[in-house]
Amino acid sequence: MNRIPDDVAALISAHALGALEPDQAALAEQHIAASDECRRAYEDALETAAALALAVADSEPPADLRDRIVAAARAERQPVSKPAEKAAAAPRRKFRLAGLLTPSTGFAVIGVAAAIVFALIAVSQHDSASSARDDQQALVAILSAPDAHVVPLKSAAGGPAGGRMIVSGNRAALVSSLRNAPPGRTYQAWGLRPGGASPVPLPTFSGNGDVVILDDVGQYGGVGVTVEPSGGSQTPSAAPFAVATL
Amino acid sequence: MEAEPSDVLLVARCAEGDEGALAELYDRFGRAAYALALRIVRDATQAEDVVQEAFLDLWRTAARFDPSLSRPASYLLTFVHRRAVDLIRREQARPQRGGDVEDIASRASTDDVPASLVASEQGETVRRALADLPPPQRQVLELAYFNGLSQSEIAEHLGEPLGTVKSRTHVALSRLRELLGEGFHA
Repeated sequence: MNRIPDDVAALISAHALGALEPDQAALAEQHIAASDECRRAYEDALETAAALALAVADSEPPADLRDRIVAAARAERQPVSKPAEKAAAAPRRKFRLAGLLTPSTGFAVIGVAAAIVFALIAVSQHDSASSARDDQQALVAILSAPDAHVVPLKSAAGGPAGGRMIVSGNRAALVSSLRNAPPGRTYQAWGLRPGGASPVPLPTFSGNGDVVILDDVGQYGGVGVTVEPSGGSQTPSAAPFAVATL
Repeated sequence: MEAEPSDVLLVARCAEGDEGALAELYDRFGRAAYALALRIVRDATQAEDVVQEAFLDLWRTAARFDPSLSRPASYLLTFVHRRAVDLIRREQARPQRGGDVEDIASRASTDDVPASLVASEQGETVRRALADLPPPQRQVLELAYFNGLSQSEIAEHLGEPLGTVKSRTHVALSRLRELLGEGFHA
């Protein structure tokens, strides 16, 4: 088992306590996403941190809070977009690859990786069935296009980081190989524009096997990925830890 | 008589859209969640909002909950903590966040909360473990977890080097984990 360096271990402990500034928190998330040891250390630290909560004597919440929570949960089951999802400017287009990347024939893209045998399942519960179908069709169109090509996500240091994009014309499928985002956090894609213009918020996704379809990528110089609070953000809370250069 | 469903089973039912399971989780952990939120944000209305959002976080992410990595109670309390800390950080105007460190450990014996409202035996275990930490270690944990201060804010507040605060926080959390023992689960 790899030993976690002291400074990284300290970073992970502080993160579990919620005591990092956004840039440091993003760094901690990178370690947690990149290493099983770090992930385990983080989960252990979260458990211990949560134990601190129990040191506070219980307080009686107002009697109607239970009903309000249940009513709000019920309301969310309706296929309406949550406020948090409205925050993302781009429509949420996301689904999951179940079986994947087995060598076979078929799609043009796969000079690199072989064809994808995929089952598209578990479309986000807030997506409508028709947009799920649209997304499946979009993915098939991207994968089978003659001009489809793979652009890897890379870390600042230039190493592979968390997945790849398959680009065809003005559209792309971002295929994530990141570990699932920690509780309360989500990954979010950003359209990076040249000249220092602020990044354009793109859909959020949760982790390994998630696929997001991105439209109009031709206007971006690249696509970056950050870790954001659940629901996504309007502006990135840290520099992207992974970037695909288009 | 049927055994009560486990916490993990209740989260699984939430993932299937069972609101009754969410209500049951609230009955089990709602008071601890509210207490934590209130301790951090120090405002009853805001604490209610935090608790509601945290339960909805659990509701929305129940399908991704991994019982091999965490327990339902700590999963929920992590949401509560994040929501509460995010809230006080947004409220830049809130005065004296760092200036008022309540010594939780000292409340173990002096709290005059009615016995029925005192957190479980587990709460007593945690308070005892906190009391066993050297005071400087206890202090950095409390400033971080309950006051929502970042590592650099703690360093500034204490007038100590950032590196000292980082390593002390890590040692404190590791030591707390040892004191609580392997068998302890939030």
